[in-house]
Amino acid sequence: MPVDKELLEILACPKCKGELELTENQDGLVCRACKLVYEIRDDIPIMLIDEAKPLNE
Amino acid sequence: MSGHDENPIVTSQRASWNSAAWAWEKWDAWLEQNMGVMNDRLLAAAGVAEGHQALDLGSGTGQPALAAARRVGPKGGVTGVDVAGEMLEVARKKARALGYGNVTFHVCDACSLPFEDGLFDAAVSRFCLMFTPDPRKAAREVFRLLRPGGVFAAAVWADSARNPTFTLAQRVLNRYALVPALSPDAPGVFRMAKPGTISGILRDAGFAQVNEEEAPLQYTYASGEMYFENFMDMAAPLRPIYLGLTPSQRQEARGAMIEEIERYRRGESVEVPGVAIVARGVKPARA
Repeated sequence: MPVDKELLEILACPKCKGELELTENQDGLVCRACKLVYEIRDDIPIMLIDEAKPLNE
Repeated sequence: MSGHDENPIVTSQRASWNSAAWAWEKWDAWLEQNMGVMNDRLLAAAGVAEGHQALDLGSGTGQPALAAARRVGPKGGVTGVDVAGEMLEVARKKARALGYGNVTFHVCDACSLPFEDGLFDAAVSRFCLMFTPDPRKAAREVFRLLRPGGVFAAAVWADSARNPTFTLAQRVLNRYALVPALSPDAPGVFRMAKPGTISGILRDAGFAQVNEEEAPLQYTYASGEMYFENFMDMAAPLRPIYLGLTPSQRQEARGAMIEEIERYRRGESVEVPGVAIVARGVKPARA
C-alpha cells in the first residue's frame, strides 16, 4: 500500500499539523513550514520529528 | 536527527520494541489465541463497524488493527500507528498476506500524531498507553483525531498482583540484577493499573461517558519452558536485564521462573490468569 493521494490528504506534520507533500521520488513527505522531510521506508512513513531530515532546497 | 524535540523515552522505546519485533512475529499465532479476545472486546467497546475509519494506537505487529480492518471492510479504513517500525513491518507483511488493502501503518510518537483533526469514527489501543512518554498527551491526540461522537476504547494492565506472567519474571530477575524501580509516572507495564487512572486521563482529555471495567485474560502454555521462552522473547523491557546476567545466573533464573509458573499447571497445560482494564470514552458531539 504505497502512500497515495487519499492518504496524503489525511496525513499532517506531527510537529505543526500542517499539510505535507510527497517528495518527487515518493520516498518522503515534506513539511514546508517546518522544513522537514519524513522518510517513507518500505511503504511505512516514519512520522517522528526526531527522525525527520532537514529540507534542502 | 533534527536535534530539537528529542524525546529519550521515545528513542529508547523504539530501540527496545524494534529489537523484540522478531519475537512478536515468532509468537504471532500464540498472541492471536491468547490476546485475540481483547481485540474483539476493544472493537466492540469502540463500536467499530463496517465503513468506519478506525485508528489503532500502538499496533505493534498488527493487532488490533488487522481485526479492525476485517470489521470495517473494504469501504472502511484502518490506520495503525506504533513507535517501532520493525514491529509495523511485521504488521504490514501480515496485512499483505491477508490481502487487506484497507489498512496502513505509520511510525509515530503517540504524543504527536501526524493526522488531521476529526478523521476517525473510532479509536482503539491495546496495551500501549502506559508505555507512552505522556499518556495524557496521547489521549488528547486521540481526542483531536476523533470526529464528534467518535469513541475511544483502550486496554491497559491492571495491578501487578493479578498479572503474574509479568511479576513472576520481574521478581526472579530482581534476585540477580536491579530491575530499575519505576516511579508511578514513568512509562511501564503497571503505570495505569490503579483503578480510575485511565478513566481520569480520558475525562481530562475531554472524553464524556467515560467508564472503565476489568477484563480477564488467560494465557495458555504447553509447559513452564514455553512460558519462559515466550515471555523472555517478547518482554522488550526485561529481556536486556536477563541477557545481562552471567550464564549461571541465567540458568538459575530460567529454572526459577519455570518452577514458579508450573504452579499454574492444570492437567496438560499451564493456565495463567491476567487482568486488564478496558476504558471507553466518547468525544462529545459539541466539544
